[in-house]
Amino acid sequence: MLTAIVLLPLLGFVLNGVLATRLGGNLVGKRFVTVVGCGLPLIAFALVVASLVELRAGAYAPLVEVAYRWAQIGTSPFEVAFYFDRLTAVMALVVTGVGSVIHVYSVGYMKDDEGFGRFFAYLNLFLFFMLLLVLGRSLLVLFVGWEGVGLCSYLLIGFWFGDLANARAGKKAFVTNRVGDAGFLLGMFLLHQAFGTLDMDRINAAFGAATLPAVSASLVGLLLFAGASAKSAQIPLHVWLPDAMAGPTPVSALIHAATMVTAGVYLVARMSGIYLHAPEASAVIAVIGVATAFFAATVAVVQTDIKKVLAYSTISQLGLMFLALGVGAYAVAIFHVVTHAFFKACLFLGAGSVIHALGGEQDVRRMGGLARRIPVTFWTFTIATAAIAGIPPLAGFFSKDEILWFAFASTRGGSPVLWAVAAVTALLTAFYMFRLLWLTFLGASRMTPEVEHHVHESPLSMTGVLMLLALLSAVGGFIAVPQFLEAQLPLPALHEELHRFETPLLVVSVAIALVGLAAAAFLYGSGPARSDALRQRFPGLHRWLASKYFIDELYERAVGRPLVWVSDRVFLRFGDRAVLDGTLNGAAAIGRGSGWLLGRVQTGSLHVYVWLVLVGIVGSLLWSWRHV
Amino acid sequence: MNANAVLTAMLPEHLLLLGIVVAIGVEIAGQGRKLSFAVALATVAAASIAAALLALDGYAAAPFAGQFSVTPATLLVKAMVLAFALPVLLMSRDDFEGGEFAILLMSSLYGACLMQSADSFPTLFLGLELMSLPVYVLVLLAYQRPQSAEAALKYLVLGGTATAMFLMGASLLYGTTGSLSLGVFARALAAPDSLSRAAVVLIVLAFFLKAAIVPFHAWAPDAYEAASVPVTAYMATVVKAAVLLAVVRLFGGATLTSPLLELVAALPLLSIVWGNLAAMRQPSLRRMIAYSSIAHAGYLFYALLGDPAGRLQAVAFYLLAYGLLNLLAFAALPAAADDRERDRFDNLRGLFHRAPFAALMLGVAMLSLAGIPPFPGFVAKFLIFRNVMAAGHTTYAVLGLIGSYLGIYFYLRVIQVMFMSPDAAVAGSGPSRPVAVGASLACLAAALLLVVFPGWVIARM
Amino acid sequence: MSDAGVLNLVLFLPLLGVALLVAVPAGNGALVRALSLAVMVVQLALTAWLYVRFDSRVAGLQFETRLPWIAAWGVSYQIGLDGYNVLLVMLTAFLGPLVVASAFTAITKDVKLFYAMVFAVQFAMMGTFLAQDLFLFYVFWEAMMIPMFFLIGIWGGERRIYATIKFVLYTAFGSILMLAAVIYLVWSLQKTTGIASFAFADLVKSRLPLDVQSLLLAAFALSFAIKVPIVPLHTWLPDAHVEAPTAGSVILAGVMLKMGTYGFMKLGFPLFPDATHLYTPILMTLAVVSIVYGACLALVQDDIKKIIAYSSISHLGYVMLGLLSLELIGIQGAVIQMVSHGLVAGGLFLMVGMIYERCHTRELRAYGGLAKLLPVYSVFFMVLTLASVGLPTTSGFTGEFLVLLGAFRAAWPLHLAGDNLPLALTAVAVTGVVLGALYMLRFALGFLYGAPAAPHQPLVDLGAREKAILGVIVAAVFALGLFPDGPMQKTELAAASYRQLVSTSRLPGSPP
Repeated sequence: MLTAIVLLPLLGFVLNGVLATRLGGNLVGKRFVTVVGCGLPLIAFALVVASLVELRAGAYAPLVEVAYRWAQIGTSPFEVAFYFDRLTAVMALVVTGVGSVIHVYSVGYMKDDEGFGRFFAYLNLFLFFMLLLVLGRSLLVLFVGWEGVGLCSYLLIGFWFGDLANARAGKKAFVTNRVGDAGFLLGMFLLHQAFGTLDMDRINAAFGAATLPAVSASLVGLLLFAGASAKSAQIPLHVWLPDAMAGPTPVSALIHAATMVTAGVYLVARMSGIYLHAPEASAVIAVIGVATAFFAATVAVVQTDIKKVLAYSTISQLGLMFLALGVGAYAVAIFHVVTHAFFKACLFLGAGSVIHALGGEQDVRRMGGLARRIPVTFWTFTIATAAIAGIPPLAGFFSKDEILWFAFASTRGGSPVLWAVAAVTALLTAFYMFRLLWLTFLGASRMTPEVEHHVHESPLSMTGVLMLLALLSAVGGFIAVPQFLEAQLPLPALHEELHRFETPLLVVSVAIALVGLAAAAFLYGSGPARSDALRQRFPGLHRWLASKYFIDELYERAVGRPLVWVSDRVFLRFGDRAVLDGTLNGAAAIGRGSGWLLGRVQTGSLHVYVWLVLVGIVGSLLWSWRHV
Repeated sequence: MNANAVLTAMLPEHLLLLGIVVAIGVEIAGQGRKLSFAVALATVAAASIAAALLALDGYAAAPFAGQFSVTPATLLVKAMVLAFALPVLLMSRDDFEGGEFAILLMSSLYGACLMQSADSFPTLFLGLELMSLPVYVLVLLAYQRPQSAEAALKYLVLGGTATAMFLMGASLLYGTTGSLSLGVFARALAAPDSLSRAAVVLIVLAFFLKAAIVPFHAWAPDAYEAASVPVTAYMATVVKAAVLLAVVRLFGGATLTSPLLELVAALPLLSIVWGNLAAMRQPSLRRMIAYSSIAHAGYLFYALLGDPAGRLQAVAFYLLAYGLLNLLAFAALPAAADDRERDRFDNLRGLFHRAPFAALMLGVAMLSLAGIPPFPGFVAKFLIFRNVMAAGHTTYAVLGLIGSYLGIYFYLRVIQVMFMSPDAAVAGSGPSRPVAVGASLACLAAALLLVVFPGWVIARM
Repeated sequence: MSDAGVLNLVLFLPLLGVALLVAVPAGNGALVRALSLAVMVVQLALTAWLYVRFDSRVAGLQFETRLPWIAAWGVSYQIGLDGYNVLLVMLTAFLGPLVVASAFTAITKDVKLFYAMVFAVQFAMMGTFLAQDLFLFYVFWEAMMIPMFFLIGIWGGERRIYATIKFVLYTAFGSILMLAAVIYLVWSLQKTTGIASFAFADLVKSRLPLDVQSLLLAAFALSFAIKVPIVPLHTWLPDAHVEAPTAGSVILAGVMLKMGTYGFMKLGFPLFPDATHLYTPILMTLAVVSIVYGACLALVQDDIKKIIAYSSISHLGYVMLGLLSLELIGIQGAVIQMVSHGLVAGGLFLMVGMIYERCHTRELRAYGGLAKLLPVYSVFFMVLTLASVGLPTTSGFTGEFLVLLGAFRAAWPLHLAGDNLPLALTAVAVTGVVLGALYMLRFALGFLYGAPAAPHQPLVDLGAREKAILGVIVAAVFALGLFPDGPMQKTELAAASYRQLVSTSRLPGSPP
């Protein structure tokens, strides 16, 4: 059954990829594409549910299903096997569930696109790899999915390949991820060297064993985290995600918000067996997580592209998840993955609906006053915003509050400092989200007349999905994910003396959300005047934030250009052409030259010849008398 | 000595003599070249076959003790040398007016055969000169070109110095040992006194000159170029073969020691390098082959560094491969209005499109001369350097191989000219020459034999 | 006919093809093409049959033929299949028909000679892989050069003469020193053990002091390293590739480059194990340098053929790394990487040829947005690009992953023992994964994406013949990526024997 879950989307990819594209000569129409493209993921979702039932029936003993043996070298087997336990169940449900509804949404969103079939083929392929990633038993299978989703991300970011910028963004995403993967690979190698297997359950068990393995948990942890940080856009490998917004909006929702980018979180949670013994690595993860969260939030504050705001918000939220992982609250991180999947998908799809309504417009400075024109989008967007901002009792409130709490009180590296930074991030989050809400939907319209004229609410296939996701964002917090995972990913112990702070902190975090809301209302509630004034006050700061701390420029100057320069000037022009070919051609020239010279001896004059002979005779005689 | 032995042992020589007489008769009768050509062809073929049969029969005899003796090996060698002359004759068919070519060729061959059986310096000298003198004329004989005369003269003069050296050396040996038999040479090789040293050196140098070893090679390029194609082929194959085989016979079972060793290693090595380098920039095939033959003479003398037991085999096999492919090349060379223009590389450009067969034949020949497998030249080279290395002269072997590497380029250049260059604007190729083509095919067949069954051939040498 | 007989047939079929071509009347191009394709297909069929019959549980030679050739020196005509060559023979036979088919429209000049030369090179390459006798091996090894010289020199591009002469002189230089080494090796074997033989099986009985081993290995390694090629002996490759006709490039990249790595695996390292250990740090460094250097150079090329040429240097660096790891996983990975590179680079060169036939330029700048102009072409191109990048599920991943894993597994214990070089090198090699993505995606970016641009529009997309050619290659790429187990079972014993041979000292006096 697990195999079937994985293969169904692949089937969809093959069918749509061959029949509905130029490859197979566009044999089938949009209806076929829709049925196959959306139907198979839904079936997969059903199968996941069924598997969950089976899991419960088996008292939550992990289901293992060996598909086939990929290779057997000497004594080390490499099997393609699938593994289904509580964690898998949660992730798989999110992937297939949210995935499916986004497929449905795409039907309406992409209906006029010439690449309709190709789009759904890619989406299905993505689901296949994502499920491979989530269901894989061994790190190898996980890595296959890991790289595969990266590929789909690349293909979908560059989906509209007519514009080179999109393709560049895709390339940037792929290469950046490859950087992380290099670390990931080394981590895998180290584990294989130590345990002779890559099956994650075995590895976790080995670390759990009484006798600690010879290999350093922190080293492995950090290497794997390198991969995770790239996939989940953490500092310093976050640069690709904002550009990834070049892809169609459903892609941003599915891949760059709900599922793929959370793969890093899943990896760390899945490998928690290692991180439980790697305090140093965990500390690093917590710090990078919270730093990323804060950094991204500050950038999001000044973005004017509706999708860019959401992108940085995603990075920020992922940072919070890693904070949770860093302090050992793995279940909580996964909890936030789930809620985040709900409201961030809702936000992105809402943004998509807006862009759809405005005929491609993404700049919030040319929006405003949309609330009345596209009410469904507005209300769903509002709910999701409130959820991410942490307004109780919406989904985001619960998961975020737990993260803050464990960051504060966990005995596994929790500290008030972490909490403080995270809290400020939460404040910023509430602020920039409501700012976005105001600029987009409220206030006076800043749209050009012809755009304004075309504004229309999206079809039901899209709004329906929005409503569903809004509902989940609202009530998702009551899904007790941490408790469900407790048995597998126990929550960290808390500092006893800190228990008394629990209620105060709860109040604080609610307050934070409201303050953020208020601030946004104050600055943007009555026209742009105040916000502009503020920008006038701190131009330098604004520029610094607006240009994302100049990190892209830094990388370009520090890595990109030097690499090309060295390759071109040093390796190609100097190394290959000057030195190596120079030597060769030089030798050849010497050969030809000496050939010419020796040819010249052949003057044709007998005297020269006779002289040669005499020299020869005399020389030979003298030589022969040498030893006499 | 019994007449019977004289008759059988010298059968090839006798046949040649007979042929010469008949040919002269034909000339006097004024029957023209057709007939004399046929006579020569028949004679040489008969002589070669006779030698081969005797060899296979395992015939050995010494009719004139201390002067002339035959063994199966020498007979086989004679058969080979004579066989080389057949393609030469075939390709000469369309090139010569009178019958003098045939006569001179046969007398030269007589000398070549005599050398292989010589047991004493006088006999050897007789053979050497009998072989050389007609060649001077043959060079001159070409197309009565002025440069032919000039080249022939140079060849004559330098050849004369060789003769002088040879006589000088021989007489010195006679002075020191009181014997004229070839055996003394081998002994003198080891002798420490300066006189026998000088004698040995002079004799070796004489052969160096005949075989065109640097710095005694200067006559070769001019002579080769000035002579007409068949004569060039003759010099490059028969003469070279006869000389080298005689050298092997001369050295007998003696192993070389310093300082002679260095001499016999260094000068050949020098001519390998010199010949291969100088060949790169030559304008015509004949001139290029001249330098190539200088280099090949180098490889052949290398064989002397090897163990005495293996020398004859190595040299013979090498000469077989080298001679066959040279003849193949010359026989395949397409005709042209003017003999001089015939093998200029400018006129060979794009030959493949005009005369694919000729181009392919020449290509095969070049690759084989370059010693690239699977062509016979490779096995031959391998055999020589294997012996050299087995004798412990690793350094010389490696140097020689590197020297041979230098040769690859100019052979490939010929192929490049014929296959990869834009076609030359030559006014219609000359008349088709079925006989020559036949000759080249025969050589090709023999070469193929060497490719497929080298072991079988080597085992019989 | 016995399997051994079939194997001989496989070897000599191309020569038969030449004979048939000679019989064909000149000017009948269609017949020549059909005939050539037929012969190649038959060869592939026979090879496949043998591949299936090849028993992966048998260690030594299978389907062996051994006849005395030059008995005096112990040279014999000895061929056979074993784990070392079985995959490469299969690869050679597999690419044969594709090469022929790819030239149907591209080659119009001297068609007969062209296919004759293709047959000749096919024969020589098959022979090189099948030969089990050093002399025979050398003959084929050298002979390979000649048809290649013609293929590049006659049907090549602008600077074909320079390229082909450079190629021949470069490779010939390596070979001449190898020849010296061969002679010395055999002679010393005869001197010490009394065995006069060129058979690989006998040569490994040689006992040589370290200095001799070092010199001999140096000579062999030079020859092999030039063929691979390993930096800094690589500069002939870009020129040869750029000037060669498509078929030539495919043969070169697809099979001929593996000659070098195969030579190392079959001869170089096993014959001189002690010297190998001596050289391992240098060779390993050079291998990793090749990986990085080749990738960096591929990053700054404007000629699309050069990009692939330099990527080959990089990819074969992995093979060397795997072979030197002496770790079963790494060795197996190296073998797979050889085949994978043959398929991927071969396929990419075929695709370059197809676009060149349409647009007559190899300037990357001249192209753009092919995804719109040639959608089907672009799909195949993307697949092969990703295989070259080493994306999982493609053969490229199987090879690279196993090689790197093996190298790491070998390096880690050394690191713990205090020798950090191998680990450092492995780490650097892993960065090749990033560089690989960088240059191939740069290629794809300028090629497929952006505003449609290409000379000689409108372009016709792939025809049935081209689709078929690329289809089988892509299929093979995925087969090797998803189900490498079967092939690797066939090579497992050979990999083990290789490791065992290279790990046992063979200095004088060491036990037989």
